[in-house]
Amino acid sequence: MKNEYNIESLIARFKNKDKIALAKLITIIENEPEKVSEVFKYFEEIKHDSYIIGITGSPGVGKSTLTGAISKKLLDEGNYVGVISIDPTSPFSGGAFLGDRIRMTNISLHPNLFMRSLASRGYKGGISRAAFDISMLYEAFGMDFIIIETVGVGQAELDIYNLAYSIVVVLVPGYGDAIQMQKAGIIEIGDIYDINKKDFGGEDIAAHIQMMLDDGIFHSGWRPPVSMTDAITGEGVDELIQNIWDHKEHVELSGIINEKKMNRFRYKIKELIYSKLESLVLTSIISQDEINSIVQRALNDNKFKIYQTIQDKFEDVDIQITEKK
Amino acid sequence: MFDKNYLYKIQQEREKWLEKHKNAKERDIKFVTDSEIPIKQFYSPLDVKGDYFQNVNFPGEYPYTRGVYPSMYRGRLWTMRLFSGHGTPEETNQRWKYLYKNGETGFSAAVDALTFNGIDPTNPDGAPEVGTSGVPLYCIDSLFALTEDIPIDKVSVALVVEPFTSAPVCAMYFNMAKMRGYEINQLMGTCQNDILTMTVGYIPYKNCPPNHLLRLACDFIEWTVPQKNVPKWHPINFTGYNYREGGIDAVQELGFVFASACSHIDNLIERGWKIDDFVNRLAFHLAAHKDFFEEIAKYRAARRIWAKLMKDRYEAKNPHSLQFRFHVQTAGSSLTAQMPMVNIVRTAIQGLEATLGGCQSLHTNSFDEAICLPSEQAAIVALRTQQVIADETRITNTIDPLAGSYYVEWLTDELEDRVWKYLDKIEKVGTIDKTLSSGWLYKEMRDAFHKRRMRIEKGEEIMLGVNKYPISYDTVTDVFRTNEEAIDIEVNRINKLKARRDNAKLEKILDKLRNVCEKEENVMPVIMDATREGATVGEICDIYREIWGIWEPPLAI
Amino acid sequence: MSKPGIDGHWRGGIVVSRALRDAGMELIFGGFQNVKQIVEAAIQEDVDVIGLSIHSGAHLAYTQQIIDLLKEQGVLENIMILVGGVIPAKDFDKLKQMGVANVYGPGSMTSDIVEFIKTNLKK
Repeated sequence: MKNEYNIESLIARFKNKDKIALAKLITIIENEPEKVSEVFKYFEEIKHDSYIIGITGSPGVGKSTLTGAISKKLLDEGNYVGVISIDPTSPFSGGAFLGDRIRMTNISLHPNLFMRSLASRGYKGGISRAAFDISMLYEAFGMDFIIIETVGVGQAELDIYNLAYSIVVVLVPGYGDAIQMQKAGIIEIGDIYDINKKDFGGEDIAAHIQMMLDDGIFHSGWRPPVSMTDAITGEGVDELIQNIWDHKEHVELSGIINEKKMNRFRYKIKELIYSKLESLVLTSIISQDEINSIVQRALNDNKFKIYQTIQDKFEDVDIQITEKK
Repeated sequence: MFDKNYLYKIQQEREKWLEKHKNAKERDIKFVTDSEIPIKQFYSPLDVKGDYFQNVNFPGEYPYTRGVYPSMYRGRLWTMRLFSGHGTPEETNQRWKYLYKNGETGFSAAVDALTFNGIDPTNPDGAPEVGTSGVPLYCIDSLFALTEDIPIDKVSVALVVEPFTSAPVCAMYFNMAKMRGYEINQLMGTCQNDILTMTVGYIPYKNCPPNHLLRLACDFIEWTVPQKNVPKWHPINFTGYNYREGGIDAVQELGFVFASACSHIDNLIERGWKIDDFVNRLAFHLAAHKDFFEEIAKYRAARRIWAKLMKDRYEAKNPHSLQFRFHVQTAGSSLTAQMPMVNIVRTAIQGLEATLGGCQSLHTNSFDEAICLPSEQAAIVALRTQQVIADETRITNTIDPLAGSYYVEWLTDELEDRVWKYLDKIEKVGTIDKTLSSGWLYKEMRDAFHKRRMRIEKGEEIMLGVNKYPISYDTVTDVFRTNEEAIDIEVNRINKLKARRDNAKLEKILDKLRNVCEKEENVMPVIMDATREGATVGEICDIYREIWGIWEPPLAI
Repeated sequence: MSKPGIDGHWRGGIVVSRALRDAGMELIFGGFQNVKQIVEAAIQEDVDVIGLSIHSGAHLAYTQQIIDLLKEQGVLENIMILVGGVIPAKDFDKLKQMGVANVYGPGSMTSDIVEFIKTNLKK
């Protein structure tokens, strides 16, 4: 159903703030990773930076509704806002149910807003491989703010830390206890905490978080504030947004923002390198088929042999790197 | 009930029978009820446990298993009440008159999506749906048009609106009746006012959160019945029908309605009322689904459970408080768009279930309902279906004719047992508004939707024309189209009203409504004033939205 | 998957959504949206298919409005439009003439919908 789009013409429209072109470029970036560098070549002279906010928390806590509330405030102040909402891909079917957009319906027609839903597509970090690339695209587009809403915080889904500058962790009363939160590592990555659906017993969980924060060490001198909201009525949302602003100010004034930006780039560079390495290894040293047969042998034969087998494989090859002339 | 020795003899003989026929070949289907209760080859006195007087008793006697009245249909037939409405109030009025002329004994207003959700036709979001799925009742003038020449003092009128709009729509109705010169304390009728209809299976458009819906529902109950403003009105029908349509089973249906009823009763008791002040006017609306005997046993079990609940949990003293009164609608989800004539058969069988089960009021679906709103021809057939049962089959000769059937008595007991357990499960989650706002109810519904879909797609549940003997859609039956001019007509009606009403006076009343909403005062008196002065449903609901915010249901997929 | 307008009969939309997800598709759930919002969402999400779930009786009006708006925006060509719900068979052809790829009335099997999409969506 998709025509082959000419990237050059899309870029021209994109630079003219054409949302359709932006949408098509996102699709290309998401589905054809080999074209990504070609796309970004066109932006080399763009100097624009966006401020990136991450919203994370377990499913059902109201992240989308809060994202909508924060976006609305930003839009009201004249900003261009780009939203990326990530939902999990089903490990069984490979399909995904992307249900965040529904919470943004009442602002969806605002001319300065662009929202894209992404499926995690097997990525384990809580976001998706394409999320970083799309955030770069949003920056090239000229977004003032980018809001990334993650899949949900579980044990290992903390990659938002490497992508956003201010991270809001949203909790609801009754959602597991303090130990759960600590296990999930939430306490370490949150810059701002928010307790949504507060009418169901918010004070208790707020107290819990404060206690954990009391035990914490704050490297940059920022102690995360805890706000209480009811996203449906809008109660407390202004305070949450103020907390985000305060953090942004702190991050920018203290210079920490540069650290965060470097962290973001370093993370992506590493990912690009590893991705290249992986394909290199698979094509030159050990193919996927070979890997499959080793797996089969481990099942039938002796599983403890796998360590030696791989070691041998790499010892058997001589890796030479020569520069192209 | 049965002689012990004789029972023992039956048991022995039964075992012999089972042994003798143990290799009998059975068809390759599961012999279970719709709610998956496994069913044996036959039932006998061995399966009927318990004391006749405690469990079954006579009609009109606790626990009312056989019927809430001593005379039931021998004294008075069920009300034949066809749920209808389309296009404009004037057109609906015509249809009502037509049905009444043909023997309908009660009216029931099916309102359109805008009325349901409290939106005015001047709002572009809803405009294309004016009158397409029911009658638009946006302002008091609409109620006048709807009831022109209809004997509302003699015949009961059901207004099927839910807590979000039950107060304004009924208030318009009451004001209209007053202006016509009727004493509203003599008016007979009902409104659905059911918190779960608006929220599950049917997703509400820009309604307010469930705890406020509960409050609105109870405000209405309080104002009509214990405060004696319209004491003959039935201010609520706990409706299992709508969620049953989504796929839940008979056990869940009763569980939900009883849990909902208890939450409302608790709310009213907290306000200081005694159970006997109001509970006799609380009614129920159940489905008549595909499993013939299960549905009949369900109604009997429902009566027994309600009687016990009211007596044991709430210590109700007045016998009327223990009586479970209900309206039945035959199951829309069982109808097919393929070969719609077959729907007449389905509806007839379901209507029979309802009447053998002792309902007080019945709506039978029209055969074209899987395609469009009922045409006149289809509506008449639906009405005649009830009349055949009432006038030609003679099932009304005796009360609760299926009592004593070993199968039916056993199934009644079995359903009762399961419902108590499910009710327990629901109540552990919290009051009915908590089950909604926590998302628990949505998950139950979602699971039921998918379970039923799987059953149909796998062929375990048969729908003739769909998964057995599949044929294509019917293109012969006329499609009833609603009036395309309806939106202009209704917008004009409202504009005329706005032009003649005292806008300054109304503004003050609406301000008072804002106040009342924030406090814990009953909203009805202000809404009576507002609607009398010409407020529209949309205007009143916009105030609810302003004060309480718009609820986003925690949809589960 | 979207519901133009305000009528809240949602069971069909939910059931089909899950079937599509279980078949490996990425499904954006729009909920209640007006015509403009549906088209805007389709553009921003760069969808391959738009599914309209309509039980209100107003299917002809809504579908035409959506198709017109998609055409205006220049994106109609690459999007498959499917309509489902309480649609009388007599209206199927009218919808197809408007540009709808297929119509699914009551009793449709979700497996048919999945099959149709997989077969007819050009990669």
